[in-house]
Amino acid sequence: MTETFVAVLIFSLFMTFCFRHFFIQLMSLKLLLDSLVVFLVSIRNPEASSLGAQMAIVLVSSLSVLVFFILMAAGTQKFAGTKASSLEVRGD
Amino acid sequence: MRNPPFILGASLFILALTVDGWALAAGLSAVGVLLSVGTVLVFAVGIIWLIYHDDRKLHFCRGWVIIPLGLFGFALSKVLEKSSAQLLPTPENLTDTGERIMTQFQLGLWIVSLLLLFSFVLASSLMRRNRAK
Repeated sequence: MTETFVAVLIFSLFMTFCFRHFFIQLMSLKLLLDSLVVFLVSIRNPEASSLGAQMAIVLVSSLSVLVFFILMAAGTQKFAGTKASSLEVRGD
Repeated sequence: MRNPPFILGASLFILALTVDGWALAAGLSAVGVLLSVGTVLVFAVGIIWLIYHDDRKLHFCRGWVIIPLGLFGFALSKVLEKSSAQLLPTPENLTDTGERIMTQFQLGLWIVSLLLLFSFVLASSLMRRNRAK
């Protein structure tokens, strides 16, 4: 199961970096965020307490969700009016 | 319905919902529900953008990135195997979590909320309304 989650994390990173399409990158980033949250809160030694991880994940996930939704709104507004199709910044 | 971005995006959506379902099954009810709602919202926004923007080009670039990413994933799984860490069911304890956050990070929460308030006030002061001609 751990290997599966690591594979999902790597897959979402790969999709984010290697596909130039705003919709695909948006969904990949959300998949990365979800899998990272679940991975961080669930991975531990069997005898360790999960309270610290739950506390950290509440803070990290709430801030990252806020930043992600602001980015998503800004990206949707930007790409709706242009012909660009990815989050990649171009120099021209 | 048949264009590649839609099929790929729908597959990613189903995968993300599976991850959220795993969180729900592992005992993280609040986190699972919030993540699922967020996933549906992101997919809906993306579909609306896809329909209106109607971009059918899907570019694949930098395929070599899979090599360093694969190495990183292999190393990460080996480290987790050595440290005997596993994915375990985590029953949510919102009462204790909230109490501990409020006692240990109270000053941090106040500072973050003040920063958010100031940033929203600043952003709203920078907004301009375009008058119709």
